[in-house]
Amino acid sequence: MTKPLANSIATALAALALSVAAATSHAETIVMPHGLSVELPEGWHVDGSPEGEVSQTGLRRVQLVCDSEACRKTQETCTILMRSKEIEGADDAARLRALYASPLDRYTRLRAALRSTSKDAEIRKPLEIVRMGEREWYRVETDARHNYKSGLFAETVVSGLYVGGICKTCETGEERHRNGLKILMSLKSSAAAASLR
Amino acid sequence: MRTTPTIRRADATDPPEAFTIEAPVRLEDRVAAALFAYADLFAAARRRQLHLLIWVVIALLAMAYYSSWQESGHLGARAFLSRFGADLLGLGGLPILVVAGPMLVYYLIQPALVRSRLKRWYRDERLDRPIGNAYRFEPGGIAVTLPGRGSALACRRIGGISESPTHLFIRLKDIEDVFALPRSALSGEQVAQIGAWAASCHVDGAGAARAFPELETPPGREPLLTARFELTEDDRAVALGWQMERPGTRRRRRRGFILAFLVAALIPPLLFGVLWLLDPERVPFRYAFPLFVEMFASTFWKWVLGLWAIMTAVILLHPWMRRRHARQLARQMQKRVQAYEHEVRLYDETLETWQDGFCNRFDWKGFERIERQGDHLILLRREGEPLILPLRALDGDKLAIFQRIVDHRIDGGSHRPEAGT
Repeated sequence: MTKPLANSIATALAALALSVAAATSHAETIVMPHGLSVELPEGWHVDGSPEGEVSQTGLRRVQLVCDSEACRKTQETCTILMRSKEIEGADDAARLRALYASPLDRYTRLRAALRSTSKDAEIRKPLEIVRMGEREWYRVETDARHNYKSGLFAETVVSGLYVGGICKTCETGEERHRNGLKILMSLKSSAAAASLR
Repeated sequence: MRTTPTIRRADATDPPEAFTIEAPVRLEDRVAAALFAYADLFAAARRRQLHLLIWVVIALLAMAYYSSWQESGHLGARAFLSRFGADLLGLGGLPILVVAGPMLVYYLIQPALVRSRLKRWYRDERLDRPIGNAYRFEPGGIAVTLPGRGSALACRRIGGISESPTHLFIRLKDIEDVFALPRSALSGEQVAQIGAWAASCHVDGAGAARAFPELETPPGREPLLTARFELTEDDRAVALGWQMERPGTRRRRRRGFILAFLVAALIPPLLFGVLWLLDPERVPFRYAFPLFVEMFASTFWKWVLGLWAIMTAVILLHPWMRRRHARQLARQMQKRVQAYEHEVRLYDETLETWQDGFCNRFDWKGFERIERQGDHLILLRREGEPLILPLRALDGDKLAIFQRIVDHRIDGGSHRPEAGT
């Protein structure tokens, strides 16, 4: 909102990425619970069931792994997280903002992201709301130390439903998580589609 | 002078010879005397802190126990014990450390705190300048002379002597005071002399039956006014309450309150700072700092306001708490000693207080002014603790006579008993 230019560029990039994804069209659509689906680029598949596994705290995880030629080096993986409990709020944008309204929550988020990356990890991109694909995400990227995977941590709210994505990669260059971003951007909700109709 | 023969003779039925010792009363001697005289009260206060500490630790342990039991999933003693141990050593043990740590430190340094508070009190009351006391030890008792004042005690009001590495204390029976003679001012010979004197001159000794001429009023010396009273718990509470409202005490209290307000404002950021420092997986400072600033702007100030509100309530309640404390302390002190009838005699040159076997003589010029505190008069002295006189002792026209006598003698008569606050 505060950076309309950046947002429009992001949108344009996202559109471009989508068109690229559509063009290659190797994509496989994975249907997950709560009417959510993502498209997997070539070489990616679900590790385990697309239903995922629900932890004690009610967090559902769907593991995605990549075993393409390119991924042999990058060791990319993604985890899609879902929580069935609906988040309160006027609309998804407000709900997303409410996720990290308090600085303490933002601190805890940074700490968790750094913790799950590696010891002495750095923040590569700060925790902020960015547009990825069609929706806004709360995103933070970490830069791991040597021999550890860097992470992309993004969260969004889809029709009141919390959806998170954690992508890890061994890449160290400027451009990382290309596949991961692609997957997150492809997130669709049949519920939203249904409500639109 | 050889004292050894005197000691030998003292062991027999003959009373020892009289002798005089001059010793200063310095600030540290006053502190030593107060620490000795009120050792039981200070020890009781310290014990209370320990009890409180123990109960707080038990309560915190019980809470940790409960949460560990819940989290261990009731899987038996082994699972519980490992969980409990891990909790205590981890974050669950932190409250115990945070609460019990400072309490333990306070408990450990309490004696030093008491000492420094006493010192401050004597400084505030301008009692820190050394004065020279002359102690005359006689077979029938002891007479102490200091500038503007004299005291005499018969052997039946002497409790005995106690020794510490720095002082020789002469304990007094049913009097909340003690004579503290610094060892540095005494020769070995004098210590032996005092020991020999104390062997017979105490409440259970042979000297208790002897007369002490100092305590006999010379005939023909009629007091201008005599007032009698027995010191009650209420009188003590008034005296203690008066002590709590001295200018020095009030100043320090005010300063303490202001400091508490400042510290309260620093507690939330400090707490977070410490937790952040202790966290092995802390977010680097450059990311954490802006968030801390934001936390202060959004949340902490509310906590600070909350703490300040609590403090304001404490400050508002404080006068009531002080009165309650004074009453409790008065009750404790009243229990410690047997009550004697007090008699105040006003003479042309002196004011004297008399009890059985104990007399104090004060020159009028040593008094500074008189404060009135409700039903009590507080006679302030220039050098020394004040005297308290309940008005009930001045019944009938005695109060008017008292005022007339005092008007002429304390500071040219400009000081009528002032109404205290």
